[in-house]
Amino acid sequence: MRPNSRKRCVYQVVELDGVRYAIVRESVLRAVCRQAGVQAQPQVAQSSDPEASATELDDERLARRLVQRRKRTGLTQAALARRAGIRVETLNRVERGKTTPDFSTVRKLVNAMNEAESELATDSLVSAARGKE
Amino acid sequence: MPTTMTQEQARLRLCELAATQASVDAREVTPDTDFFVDLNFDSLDTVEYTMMIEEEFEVTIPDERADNVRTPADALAMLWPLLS
Repeated sequence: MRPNSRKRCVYQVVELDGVRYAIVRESVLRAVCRQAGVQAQPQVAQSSDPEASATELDDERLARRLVQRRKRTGLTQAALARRAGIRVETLNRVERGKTTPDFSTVRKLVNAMNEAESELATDSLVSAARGKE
Repeated sequence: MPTTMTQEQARLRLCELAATQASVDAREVTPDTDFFVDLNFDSLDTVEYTMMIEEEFEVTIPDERADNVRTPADALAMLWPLLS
């Protein structure tokens, strides 16, 4: 193949901390890797915004705590959503850490779980009292 | 709530409630302690703290006002007019 018949690869260059990085279309990089017999392994970059990362961590922590609390009450997602008056899809997203619930939604959930816990406690007392009869 | 409670007593109680919610020693919480930065509160803690205040002081706190509280001093500023 003559040099002047080669396909051209146009790319942009950015320099960060003294290191030059080439920005090429992913399809081009994949084609080059394929020709070179190299397996391309893309990784999705994590968010570098500390505030966004903190929110994600908060959502995950909240999700974990809500799931633990709901399981203690013995309620399913659907039952808790119904008691709290929110959509089950919303609760599902909250419990997977995919959305940040507003104050009002969390309050509805806490109220519903408190009620369920009170009912459980009452049921236990009634059962215990019947056992003594 | 005792009817004779002063602002200083209410401030102190709000700090104690925040410490209880965060499971830390009450001496670690001052009126300017940031719930999210210093006590690692999440939104569940915020709601539970608000509900503790409602029970303790026998008031109803609107969601939109509770949502802006970040410190015991903020909580007092929100609470005091409701007690008057």
